Amino acid sequence: MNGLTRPLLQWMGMRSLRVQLLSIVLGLSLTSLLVLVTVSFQRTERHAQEESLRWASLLATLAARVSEAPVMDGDVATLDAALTEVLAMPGVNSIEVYQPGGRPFLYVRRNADGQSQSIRPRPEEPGKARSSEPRWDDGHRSVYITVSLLSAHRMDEGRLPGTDDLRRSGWLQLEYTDHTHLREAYREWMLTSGLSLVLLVAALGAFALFLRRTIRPLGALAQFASELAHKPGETLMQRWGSREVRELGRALNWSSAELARRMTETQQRVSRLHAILDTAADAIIGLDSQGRVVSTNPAAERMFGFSAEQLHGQPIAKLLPGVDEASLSQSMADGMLIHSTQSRIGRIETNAMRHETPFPVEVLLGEIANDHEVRYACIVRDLTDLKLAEDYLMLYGRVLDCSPSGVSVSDARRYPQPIVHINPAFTRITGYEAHEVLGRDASILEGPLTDPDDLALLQRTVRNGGELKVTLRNYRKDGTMFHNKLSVSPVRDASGEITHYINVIEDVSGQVEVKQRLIERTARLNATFDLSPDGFVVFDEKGELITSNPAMRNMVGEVSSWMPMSSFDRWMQQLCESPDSYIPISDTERAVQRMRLVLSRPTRKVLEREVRRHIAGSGETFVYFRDVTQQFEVDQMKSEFLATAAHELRTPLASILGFTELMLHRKYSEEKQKDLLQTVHRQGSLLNNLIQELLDLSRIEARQGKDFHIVPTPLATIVQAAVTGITNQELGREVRMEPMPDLSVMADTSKIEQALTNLLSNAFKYSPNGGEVRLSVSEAERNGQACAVISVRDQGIGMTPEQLARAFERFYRADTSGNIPGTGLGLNLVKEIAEIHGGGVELESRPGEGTTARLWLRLTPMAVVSEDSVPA
Amino acid sequence: MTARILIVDDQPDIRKLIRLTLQHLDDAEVHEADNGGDGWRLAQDIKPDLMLLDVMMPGELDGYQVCAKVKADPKLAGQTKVILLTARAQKEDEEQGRKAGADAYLTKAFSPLKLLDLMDSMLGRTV
Repeated sequence: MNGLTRPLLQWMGMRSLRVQLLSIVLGLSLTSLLVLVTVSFQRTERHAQEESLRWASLLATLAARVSEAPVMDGDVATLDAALTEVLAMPGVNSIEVYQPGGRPFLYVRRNADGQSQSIRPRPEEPGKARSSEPRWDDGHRSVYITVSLLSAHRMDEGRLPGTDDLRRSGWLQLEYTDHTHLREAYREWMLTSGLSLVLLVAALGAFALFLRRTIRPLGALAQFASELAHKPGETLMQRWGSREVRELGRALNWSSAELARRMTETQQRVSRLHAILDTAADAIIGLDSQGRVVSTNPAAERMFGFSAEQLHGQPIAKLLPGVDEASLSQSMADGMLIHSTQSRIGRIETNAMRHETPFPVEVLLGEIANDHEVRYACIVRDLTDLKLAEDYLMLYGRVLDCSPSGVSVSDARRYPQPIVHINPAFTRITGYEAHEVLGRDASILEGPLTDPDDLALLQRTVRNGGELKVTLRNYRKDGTMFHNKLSVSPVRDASGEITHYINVIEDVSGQVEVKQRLIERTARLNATFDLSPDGFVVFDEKGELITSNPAMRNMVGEVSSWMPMSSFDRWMQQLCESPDSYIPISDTERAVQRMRLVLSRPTRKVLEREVRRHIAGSGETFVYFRDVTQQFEVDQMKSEFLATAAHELRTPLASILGFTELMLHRKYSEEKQKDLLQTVHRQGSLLNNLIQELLDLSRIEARQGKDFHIVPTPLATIVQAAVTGITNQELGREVRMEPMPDLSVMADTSKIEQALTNLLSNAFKYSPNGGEVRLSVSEAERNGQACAVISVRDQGIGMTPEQLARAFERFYRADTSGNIPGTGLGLNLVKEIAEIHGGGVELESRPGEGTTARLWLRLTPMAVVSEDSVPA
Repeated sequence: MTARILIVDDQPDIRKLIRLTLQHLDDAEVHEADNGGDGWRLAQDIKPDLMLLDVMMPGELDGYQVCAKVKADPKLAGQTKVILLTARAQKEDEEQGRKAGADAYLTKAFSPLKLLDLMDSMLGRTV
C-alpha cells in the first residue's frame, strides 16, 4: 500500500491544484461508480437467480406431477409426451426421471439445435440420488432441481425430502438455464451503468470548468507572491475568483505594502547600524566559526593598521595574538549569559598587534546563532589611553604621596567644608594624623597670630570659586607656629559646580628667614654694586642683560635691561678703538681670560674685562669691567718717557761722539777745534743735567715723597737760598725781590729750593734779552687751604697757549731752536715737588710779554707755628 | 755735478755736525731747515739729491711725514734719496721709516765717517 501511495502523492505534489482536485474527484467518482455497478450487478444477478430457481422449482414440481402416474404405470410414452411438453418451456434444458429405488426411467433433453431428445436409459445403472437442494452449475449458469415423485413429499411443506426419501419415492431432476431473466437483468444493469457514467463525465466536465475559473486566479496570486520579494509595494488587481482568493489577494497586497514598509524600515535600520558601525571608536569585527575575519568597520582598519581587504580572511590570532577558535569558544562558555536574549557575551583582555607593536585591548565577544557566515561579533576596544590614564592615576597618587608639599582635599558641598583627604606630607608638616583631621575643617591650623585679614580674603576667594596663594601664620599640632604658604584651588565637576578644594600647604618658615637674609644680602650687594668704581653686568641664562651698575653705565653709556648679550657685544664693539680685536662675551671659548678693551667712545678709556660664567650654577654670566685708563696711561707714559729719555740722552751724545770722531780723523784749525770742543762740552753738560734731573724725577716718583723731610720752615730762608744760588750761576743778572711777608710753610728746604731755582732759571733762560725777573710772595687760599704763593715773573719771550698747555710735559721744550739749553724736565720736576708738598705750580704766559710762574705751598698750621716757631 | 743736500733737524748742533762732516765734499750744495714744515717746502723748492731727515721734530710735520710726502711727490720721488736720522732705535721705528719710503735709516749717535760713506755711495749711484 505504502509502495503505491508515495509515488502517487509525489505525482500529485507535482501537479496543479486543479489537476489534483480533478484527479481526486475523478478517482472518487470512478470508484463509487465501480462499486455501484458491481453492487447492482450482483443484485441483478441474484434476483435473476432467484427468479430462475422459482421457475425451475415450479417447472420441476409440474413435471413431477405429470410424471407421477406414468412412472407408476411405467407408461413411458405418456411420460415422454408430458415431459416433452415441459421441456418446451423456455429455459428447461433436461429432465431426468428416476423410478423408486433409483433406477433411471427417462432422460429428456434439448440438443444443440433446440430439438427435444428422449433417452431411455438402462435401468441397471441406478442413478445417484442427491438431496432435494437446488444445485447450481456456475459454469453453465444452470440450476439443477431435484424433486420427489411422491406428491406427499412435495406437499410436506417445511421439510425437504432427504436422499433416502427420494430413493424410495423416485425423483425427478430438472436442469434449468434461465437466459431470459439474466439477459434482461444485464440489459437493465448496463443501462443504469452507462447512464451513470455519462452523468459522471458531465459532472466532471462541469467541475473542471468550475475549477478552472476558481483555481486559476490562484496562479496569478502565486506569481504575484513569488515576485513579491522583488517588487515590494506593488498591488495586484484581482476581481474574480472566489472570496478566499480575493481575501488572499488582499492579504498579499497588504503583505506587499507591509513588506515594502518593513524593507524601508530595515534599510533604514541597516544604514543606521552601518553609520553606528562606521563611526564607532571601537573596532567591530565579525568572525566565522574558525575565527577568521569576515567583516570589519573603519575603526578596525585604523586600529590594526590594515585595510578592510587585507583584514578579511585573516585569522583573528594575527590581530589578537593568542586568540584562536578554541579560546573564543572557551571565553564564550565562560562568558555572561544574557537571559532576555539567551545569548552569551564573552570578554577577553589581551594585547593586540599593530605594525608589530602590541597594545592593550579589551575584546567583547558575542555569538551569533542564526548566521551562517558570522559566528562571533567582536568589539575590540583600545585600552592604551585607559591604561595610560590608570597608570597616570596611580602615578598621580604616588606623586601626591611623595609630594613634599602637604595636600589636603576638602569637600566643598558640605559645611564647614570638612577635610576628606590628606597626604603624608600634611602630617609631616602639621603633626596631625589623618584620623585627627578628616571630617574637620582647615581652621584647626589657625591660631592667635593668624592674620584675620588673610583668613577673610581666603574665605571670600573660596566663596567666589577663585584660586588663592597666600602665606599664613599657622599652627602645628604641638602648638608651634609655622609660615604656611597655602595654595587653594577649586575642583569643579562637569557642570561647573565646585565639588572640592585642593589645599597645598608648604612650610616656608625657613624660606621666610632665608628670604629675609637674601633681601638683606641683596641690598648689601646692590649697594656694593652701586658704589663700586668697577662696572658689572649680569646676563641671565638666556643671555639677556639683567643687571648693570652705575659705574658700568658711566663707562660705556646707557645699557638697557633685557638687552641680549649679542646686542651688548655689538654696542661694546662699536665703542672700541679697534672693533676688530674685540672678543664677544658670547664667544664662550675665547672670552674667558682677562681682556683689555680700549674704548674711543664715549670717552677714551681703557677697560679690563673679565667674564665669569655659570655663577652658582644659575647659568648667569657675570661680566666685570675695571677702568684701568689711569694705569694704562701711566704705563704708556712710562714707556713713552723711556723712549723720549733715550732720545734726549742720545741727542747730546750724537754731538759729542760725532764731533770728537771728526776731530780725531780730521785736522781743524785751533779756533775751530775750540769751537767744536765748546759744543762738545755744552752737550756734555746738558747730558749731565739731563741725567741729574732724570735721577731726581725718578727718585721723587719712586719714593712718592717718602724721603722728603717736610717740616715747618720759614719761607724767606728758602727763597733767599735759591735766589743766591741762581745769581751765582747767572752772573750779571739779578732777581728783583718784592717785600716778603714772614711766612712759615710746610716744606723740605732742599727740594723747594731746587724747585724755585728751576723756576728762576727758566725765567732767566726765556728772557734772553735781559729784562727783569721779579719774585714776590703772597698769602692766598688754594683748595680750602691757607697757602703761601711764590710768584716768579719774567719779561721774556713768553709762550703761545699751545706751548703753555704742554709746558709741564716731560722733555717738552718750548724752544726748538737749540739756542736755549734745557732738558725739558725742569717744570715737571717743579710740579712733582710742589704736589708732594700738597701745593702746586701754575703758569701764566703771553707770547712776547713774558711768563709768570706761581708756586704755592701750605702754610704751617697755627698750632705747629706756635710750637716751634723759629725767628726768621 | 753738484749734489744738492738738505739737512732737516731741530738740533743746531746736529746740523753743525753734519755740515762739518760734509765739508770735504767739494761739489755739495748744503741746505738746512730746523723743522719738518720748512724742510718739506725747501725740498720742493730745491729738489735735493739727498735729504738727511731727523725723525722727532717739533712742529707740523715729523720726519716720517716729510719722507712720505717726498716719496709721494712725483717730481721728487725719483730723484731724492732720503736718509732718516733718529734717536729712536726700536724695530718698529725702523719699520715705520721703511713704510714712509726712506732709503736709509741711521740711528743717533751715528758715526760721521760712516754717514759720509753712505752718502757717497748713494750719491755715486744717483750721479
